[in-house]
Amino acid sequence: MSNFLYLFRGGHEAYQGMSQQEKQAHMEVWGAWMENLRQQGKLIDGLPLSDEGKVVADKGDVITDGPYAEGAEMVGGYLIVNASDMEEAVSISKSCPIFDYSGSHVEVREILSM
Amino acid sequence: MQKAEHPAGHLFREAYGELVALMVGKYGMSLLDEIEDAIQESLLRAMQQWGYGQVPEKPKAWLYTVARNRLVDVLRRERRILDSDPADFRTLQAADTDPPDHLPDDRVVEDSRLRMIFACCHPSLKPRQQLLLSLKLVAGFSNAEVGRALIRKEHTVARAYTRAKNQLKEVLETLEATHAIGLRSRITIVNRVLYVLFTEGYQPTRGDLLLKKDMCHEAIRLALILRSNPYFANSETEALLALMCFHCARFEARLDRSGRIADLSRQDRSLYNRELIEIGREHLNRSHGGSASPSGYHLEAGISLLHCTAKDFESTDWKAILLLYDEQLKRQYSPMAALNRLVPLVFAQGPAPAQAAYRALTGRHPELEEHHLAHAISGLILRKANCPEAATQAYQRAAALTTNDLEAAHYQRMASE
Repeated sequence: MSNFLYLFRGGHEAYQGMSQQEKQAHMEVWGAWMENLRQQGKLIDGLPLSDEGKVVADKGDVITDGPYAEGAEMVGGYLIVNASDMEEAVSISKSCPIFDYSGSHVEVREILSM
Repeated sequence: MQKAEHPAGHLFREAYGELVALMVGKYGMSLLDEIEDAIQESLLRAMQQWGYGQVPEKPKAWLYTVARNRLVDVLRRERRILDSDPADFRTLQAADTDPPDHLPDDRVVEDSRLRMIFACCHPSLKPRQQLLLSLKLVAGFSNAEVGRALIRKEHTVARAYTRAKNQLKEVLETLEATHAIGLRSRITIVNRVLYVLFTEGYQPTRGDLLLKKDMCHEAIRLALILRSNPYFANSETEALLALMCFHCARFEARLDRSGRIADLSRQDRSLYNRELIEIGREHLNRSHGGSASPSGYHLEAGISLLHCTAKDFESTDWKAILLLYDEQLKRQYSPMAALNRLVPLVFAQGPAPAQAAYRALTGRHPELEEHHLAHAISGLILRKANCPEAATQAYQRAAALTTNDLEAAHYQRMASE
């Protein structure tokens, strides 16, 4: 077993066109999906990220408002999921409600144990 | 992490209407677009964050705080408000008087909602605009939802909405004080918009059924808000509430199990919602106060109540229903109402007087010949008059005239019986 990091990106454009009802429904579906992972003991951690942040470069000589201007590349949140291997981690991510709206993707990375 | 506790019902949509009212009340109508954007943004953030497991204890207060901060940020960024300007400073202060995650008390929320309803129903706006603004700003519908409910293209709705909103901003700088809108003429308009909101929602044959049901419920909810304030409570709103309850009580019975239209004679009356009928009855009882003569809402509520409480189709009190129709026509004549009156007429007095009345009516209003309902009613009368072939022809004509598939199927079925 290993832990995997899911990074959620994008979807902003699709989200803009959603009705209040759809936003609420998406939020509820997301909650139910997380709850399901939790009950299976696969969910280790996960939180949403604020869309405000700074990017610090050159030892702090360059600090820009960030993280990215482009919604498509911005990380909206992360999860840490326990899975037997990359294949299972990917297969779990496929059922993520983030795919209900186009333009979003999940980056799956194995967290190496030291 | 906490287990996700998810709010039931229409929290997001409701919150939208409440926050629009609160913020327009606070910052003025000229910032309406910016306010809408800020609230959209806060709901978007809620969607992205609450799903992770923590719905805040007071979700609306959370949304309000995020929306307010967002609005002030945007205005500051666009240099529309400057900390150095005393007037702007006051605006900002107004924004900061409420502590975070705190919503003004219920009385203030209700009060601004009422004033927002009256703003959307301002007399200088066209009736379609009043309906559209109420759907968008009070009921929290999206353009796509309005389009689906009213069978219009989303971009047409969006354009009409922008125009209506600009008009509203021109008319009102801020929400009017309660004493200015408690006038009878203004309440009459609000009642009418709620009635249209309800009847648009009640049509079973057009548009998205679930959304349309929401429209009906929204109309009832707004009427309840209206009546809960002693300043606005009036006998017409009570009668309107009664009629909405009686109609809603029959909501589930209007289509049969296979999704076909079930007219009154085929409805499964055990599906009628008894509780709603009782609630409607209470509203109707309360609507008799005052010296005013019964309104159109009173008469329509009376008709609907008689249908709700009849044991079956055969024992319907058609004589009483006919009287109520006659009263309605005396108050305000319309060819469509006169046409509908023929249904109780044929059951109360038989086919001969109904046939005579039908001929007289279509003689006076030849345009009714183009309406499917006229032929459907003619079919009903002819069947009662024992002219089965003519009746079949009339139903077939009705089926050919309607543009709605459900109605066409219903008329075809009638024709073949």
